[in-house]
Amino acid sequence: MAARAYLAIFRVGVSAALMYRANFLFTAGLTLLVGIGVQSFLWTAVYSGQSSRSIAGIPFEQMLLYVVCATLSLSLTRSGRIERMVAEEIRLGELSRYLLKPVGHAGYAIAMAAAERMVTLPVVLGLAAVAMSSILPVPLAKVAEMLLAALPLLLLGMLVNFLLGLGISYLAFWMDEVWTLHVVKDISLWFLSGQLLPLSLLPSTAAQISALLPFQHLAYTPAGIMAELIPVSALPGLLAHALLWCGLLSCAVAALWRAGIRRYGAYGG
Amino acid sequence: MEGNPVLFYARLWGVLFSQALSREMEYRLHLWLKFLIDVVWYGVQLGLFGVLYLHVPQIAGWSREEMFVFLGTLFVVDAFNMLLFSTNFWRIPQYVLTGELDFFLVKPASTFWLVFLRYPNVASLLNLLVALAVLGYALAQAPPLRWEAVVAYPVFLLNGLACMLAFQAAIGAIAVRILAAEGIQQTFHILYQFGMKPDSIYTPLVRRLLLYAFPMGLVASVPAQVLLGRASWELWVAGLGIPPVLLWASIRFFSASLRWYQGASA
Repeated sequence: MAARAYLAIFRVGVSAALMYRANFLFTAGLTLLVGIGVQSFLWTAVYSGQSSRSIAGIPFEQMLLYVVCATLSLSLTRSGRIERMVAEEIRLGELSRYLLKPVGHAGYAIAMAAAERMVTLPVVLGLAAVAMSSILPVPLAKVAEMLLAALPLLLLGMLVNFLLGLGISYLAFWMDEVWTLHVVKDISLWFLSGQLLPLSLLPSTAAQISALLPFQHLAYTPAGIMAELIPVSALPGLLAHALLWCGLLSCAVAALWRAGIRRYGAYGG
Repeated sequence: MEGNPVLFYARLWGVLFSQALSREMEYRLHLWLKFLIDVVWYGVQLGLFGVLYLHVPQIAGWSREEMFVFLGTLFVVDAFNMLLFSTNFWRIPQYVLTGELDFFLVKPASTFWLVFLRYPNVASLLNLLVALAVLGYALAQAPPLRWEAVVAYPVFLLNGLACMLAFQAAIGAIAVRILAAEGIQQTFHILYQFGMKPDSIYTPLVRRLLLYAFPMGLVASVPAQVLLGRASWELWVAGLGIPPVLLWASIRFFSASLRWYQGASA
């Protein structure tokens, strides 16, 4: 019964996401294109001054592929319209309608968020495949293998970001405005996720700290697998790390919900 | 309006700023969080280039010290833009949809001025202090400056700001025309990404486009090059000549677009 309800919510979410496809193609497409373009120009300039055409053991073509894949990965894992809307629902008292229905709020939000991301996932994977086969170039069979290896990390990266976003939105039980925290999170993720540069380029202490944190799974680890900066043999360890963080963040978000819902009050109708 | 218009608008802005400050003081945590947004953005930019210069001595002919002067310049122009125009720019679709623009049209002051300066962003004043500190630190590390560059630099900074206003005014004019304009407004931030890096990282064709077609290169890259004494005569001429013309054209375009506005509050 519950599974059928969440499946129905997922279907509604897919329809809602497809309603905005023209907007997605224009803003997200242009943002991606310009973002990848500017990053490519920057890294071309960084490498052009080097006689060896290699930085920290990474050749230019591999870095270019990494930057493209990392930008695509973060664009997929970071989108969080649904989580941000939760804060508004709490503030306006619209949360009450979930309390009256036979679905959990977090379950509803995750079904809607999954639907939103599932619409963009094939586009991102397709663009990554084009980049992999044209920049290095990698044979098609290898492209499919790399994408399959990166896919579970991408899915866990989406979950990590969803839980971070939902946790921030649940702070709306105590705070009037939390959109600033969402923006701070999103800007920080450009750097912390490894979208701007591979985290392996950080000074050793910073790289060790970032390896402990969950943000790497939003861009660095999936893009690293796609660009062969990270060997596929490291995948089980990375998946275990991402799963551990998903578990920890789920507990934190559930605790926030339990504490917050006790404070929640909605008046009128 | 009586007397000197510059004094009139300066006094008006002072009143609007003090109103904005009163509003922000009601939600102080929100004020600090808004301040934090740009501080984090500064940190990300500094972090990116800080790490890159651990691995390479130069990027497109810019040393680490020179790049930090560029970033300081970018932060200062951006902080002024956030303080003065940015909040207002994002409100334009709301003004049009709700009919709030009516109130600006009937007030005894320039409609353009009110649309783009009505709501100062108080938090950005704090960001401006941080940006100036970054610029000051960068200049202390940079090679000695020539006096003519120091004299010209504020003019180029002002022109960089004029470019940003011109872009927002042009996009705002389109927003007045097409009503549901959030997507169009995003194009400003998309194009702004080109201005967040020194123009010498781009190919000659893109550099020309960023100088003459979409002059994002004039926002921070050209002022920083002028200050560091590495700007060609072409950059001096473009940096001094293009922004005023662009701003004049954008104001005309915005004013013309108001003819399409039909009001929504009747």
